[in-house]
Amino acid sequence: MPRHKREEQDFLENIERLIAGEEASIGEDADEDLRTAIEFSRRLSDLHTGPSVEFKDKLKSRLLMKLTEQENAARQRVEKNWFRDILDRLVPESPVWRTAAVTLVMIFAVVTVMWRTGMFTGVSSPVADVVESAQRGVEKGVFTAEAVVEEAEATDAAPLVGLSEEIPAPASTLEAAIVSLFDMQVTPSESTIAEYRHEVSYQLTFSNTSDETIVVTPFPPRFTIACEGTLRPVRILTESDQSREVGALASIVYVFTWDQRDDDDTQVPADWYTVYPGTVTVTGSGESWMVDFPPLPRILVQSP
Amino acid sequence: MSTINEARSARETFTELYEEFLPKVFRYIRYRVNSVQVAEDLTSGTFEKALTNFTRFSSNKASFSTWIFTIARNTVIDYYRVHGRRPMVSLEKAEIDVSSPELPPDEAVEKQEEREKLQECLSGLSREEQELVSMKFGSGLNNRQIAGVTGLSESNVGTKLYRAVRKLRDSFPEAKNAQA
Repeated sequence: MPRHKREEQDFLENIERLIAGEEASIGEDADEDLRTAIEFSRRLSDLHTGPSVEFKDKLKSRLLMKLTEQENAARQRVEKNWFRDILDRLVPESPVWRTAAVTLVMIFAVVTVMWRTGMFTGVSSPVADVVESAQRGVEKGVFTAEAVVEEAEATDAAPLVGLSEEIPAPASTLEAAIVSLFDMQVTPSESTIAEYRHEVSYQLTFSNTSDETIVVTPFPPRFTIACEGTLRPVRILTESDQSREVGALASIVYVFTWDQRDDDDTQVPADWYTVYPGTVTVTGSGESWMVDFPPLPRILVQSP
Repeated sequence: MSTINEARSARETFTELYEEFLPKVFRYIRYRVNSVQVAEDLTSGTFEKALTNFTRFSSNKASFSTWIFTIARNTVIDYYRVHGRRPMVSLEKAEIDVSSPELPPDEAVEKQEEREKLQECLSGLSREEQELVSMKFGSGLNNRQIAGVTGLSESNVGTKLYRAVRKLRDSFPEAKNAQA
């Protein structure tokens, strides 16, 4: 091996040692050029340290938040594809057929909405009455969560909290009915900051946006509470073994309450937590669909 | 439960890779730019791009280290394309690097001055040489990994690295004084 190649080999082996935190091993016969190059490499490897802990933690939480957003967006895309799949199955691929079908559906939707709101007859439709009475009810407190939903704490005997009650839901468009037969709205819709050892509650409104009665199994679904810091589930609230029938255009209100305890009945540490509702099966008109829900808004359990 | 498992799995995978590669990527970038703040911004940009394209990453085509360092390298190139090359000293002096808090103040200042000089000399190398030195001494990549990112052959990486270190040594003020 030529001398310069041997030196190069010697140099590379030594810097691998330095990077691994070992001492360099320079032979007695090594010339000054090689020796000083290796010594200088030691200085180079000490030039800069790693990132600060603060920067590392901040970036990590920002990236995990972005990951959650990406997952939600992907879920929505899947729902839209589901609508497209139905369209593909029902209507031939020809552009003429497609245009005609979409036009017909839109006309039907507009006419339906106008008829239901009483625009043709001047007399309010049953749905308009329901909406109106629901609004009156809310004003009077008749349909508020306190009135129709009883809350209970999550215990082993009653792992999931809450009793549900049907309330009328507003009329929806036909598209919404097809895309999302069983929709979930969460109140509050933003992240919650919870004091240490304090209960956290979300009001979940599950709406049947179709014109037919559906059966939801299981109801309530399973809920998994995961800690974002450790990425581990801390509490799994078992699903019910019951099914629930939901009338056309009706909703079920469910109050989810978490007492900040894990599966071992111990208070969880301060951190961000996410609640993942489990999948349910919706059956109607002899067909069944699996419905996934997005995670509930995050919960920040504050330090004691 | 499959949705939860999949979500957790993606999170766990990304978190593990983040813990392993963040310090390496940061140190690589820190060797390439002269400011902690800029290094943090470019590191954030690198990981955000990686996360956005994470589903497209295929371990059959390249290792994660090759992939993430390719993103980091391009991020630094884009940064210099926009901002151009600037004098290296002023920014660095404005920052207090507390990387050796255990040292006595006078030694810490000495160390800091040496860092500044080294960083200045590093900026005098060609872009390719800077990349090789940064990947080797900043991130501790082996020559095969560096070859994967730069497109050079493994033996070429070794040869160029040896040459770059000697060039850097010769441009360092102490070495110049010794030669004089």
